[in-house]
Amino acid sequence: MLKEDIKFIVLALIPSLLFILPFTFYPIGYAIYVSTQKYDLKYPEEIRFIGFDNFIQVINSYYFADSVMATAIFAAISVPLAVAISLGLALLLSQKFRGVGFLQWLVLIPWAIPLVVSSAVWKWIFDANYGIFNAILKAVGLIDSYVPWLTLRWPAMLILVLAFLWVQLPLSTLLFLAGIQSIPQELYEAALIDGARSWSRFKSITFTWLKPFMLIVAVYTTLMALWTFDIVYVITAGGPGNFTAVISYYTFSEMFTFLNFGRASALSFMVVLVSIGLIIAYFRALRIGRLRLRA
Amino acid sequence: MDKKKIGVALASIVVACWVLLPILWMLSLSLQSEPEIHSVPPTIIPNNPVYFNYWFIFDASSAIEARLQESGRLSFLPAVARWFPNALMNSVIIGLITVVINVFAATLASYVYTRVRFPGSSVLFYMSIAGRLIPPVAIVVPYYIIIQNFFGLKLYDTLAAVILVHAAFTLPLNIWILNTYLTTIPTDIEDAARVDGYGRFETLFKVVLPVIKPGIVAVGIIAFMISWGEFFFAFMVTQTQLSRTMPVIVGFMAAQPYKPVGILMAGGVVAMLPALVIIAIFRRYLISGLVAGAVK
Repeated sequence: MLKEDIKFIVLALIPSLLFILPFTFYPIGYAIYVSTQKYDLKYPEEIRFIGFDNFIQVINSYYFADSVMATAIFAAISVPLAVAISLGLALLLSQKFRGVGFLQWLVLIPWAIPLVVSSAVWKWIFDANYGIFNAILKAVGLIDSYVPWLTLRWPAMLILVLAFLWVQLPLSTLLFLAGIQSIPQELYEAALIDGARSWSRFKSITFTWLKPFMLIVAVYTTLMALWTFDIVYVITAGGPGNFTAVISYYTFSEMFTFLNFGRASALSFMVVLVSIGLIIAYFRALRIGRLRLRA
Repeated sequence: MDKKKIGVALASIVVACWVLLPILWMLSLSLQSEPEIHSVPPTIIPNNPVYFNYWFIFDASSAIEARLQESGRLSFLPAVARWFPNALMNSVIIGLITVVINVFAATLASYVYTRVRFPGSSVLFYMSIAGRLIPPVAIVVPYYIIIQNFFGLKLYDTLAAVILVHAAFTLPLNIWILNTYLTTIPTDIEDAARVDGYGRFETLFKVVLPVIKPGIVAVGIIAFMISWGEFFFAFMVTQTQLSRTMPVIVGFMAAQPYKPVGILMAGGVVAMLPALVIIAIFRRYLISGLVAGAVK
């Protein structure tokens, strides 16, 4: 290896590692440590090693089964929708037509609004009495009296998905858009000469090229869906019943209401395990053997 | 061909509605008084728009005084809004510095990972992005502890603390994105440049940078927007109102026993504006046909 290369590697990696490493190893080690302790700040004198007890307690808790169900439903609806819609959006926004620049800008706007505000907007749209959704439906004549949407199980879940998509789509669309920008136009020209139809051009060029970007979008959206807290907290507060009370809702209450850091960490670790499982599944589904490190 | 044009036009209208309707509703609510907001049926376009909500978030004390002299009584108002202008400024500063750090550090790192062979490179790469797998709740305490003493610096309750956390938070994702982007770029021109006697840094800055500009711009936008909206860590590493960021102050405004919807919506409208200007500036560099052109 050249001396110049070694110098380059060290100089070029220092800036990122300086930020990343302290915030990676220590937090992960800490989280593992806490999840194996009886770590309840209400009883600070009783902090001690208890092995997997936190995990067992969490699995046997009253909320575990329901919250896993709520999280699974939420993620299963919102992640595929987010990937599909943002890919479609990016394809639209990479066409050349008048006003496309404005539209690209427009699509990113929801990102700029603080999550508590955009959640509050969605909540207010579907509010039983003061919401615009009921008012419109009634004006059109689709309903006779106002419907309390947020107290109905599936409508409440779908409203959460809407609010989630609204804030998540900008990032995924932007990623796909950048990915599409990197597709060499020669590929399309060659395909045109070969007489490929537009669908097969899409499948064999665009889709294949975008696979690694799709992996990032799928992984990122999945993590966001599994971690969703703010939206649920503001819009449904877990209701009706506890139909929309996702896992992170209980992680937050274990941590900040009951101050039981041990159980909160154990819950988080189960989410990590599920995320890793899903990520492996994505690799398989997209037929990506491993991340390509080199060009 | 015309069929395609109509399809594009229809799709554009649907997309515009999807984005704009909630925003227009937010704008409308921000121009209504609380009794008007809580009326049945809802007011869609305020007949006589009130600007009190905006006045309040920009100058809370004078707005409260005016309201007192006018009616002699006050409904519940979140006094924390007094800090909104300052928080907005903090968020812009933190966001821009996070962008600079990301563009600089992520470009360098991902270029090394994709172009230079060295032992341990894939381990370092996976380590760099794996830290993001753990839910924020589980790692907020260690983050807090690190911030108290970061290589000997006491950063708690400073803007630097928020910048540091946001950089650590956005870099893994952005390194992965740029890495993916770089692997799609053919190395021919770089190899040619190296043969011509360019050093590594020269090759990166003079040859590669122009080609990967759309990727870098995307990374910049992503860094800014994630930092702009981030609530949880910004809340945990600051203490005094002076160093709070915009989402934290807006969160406080929402977390009142009586939620002032109009004021919250006005906060949302104003919060969105700086970010929109910044996206508009960045976005024009997003689309470019440079990739195909440069390889030819």
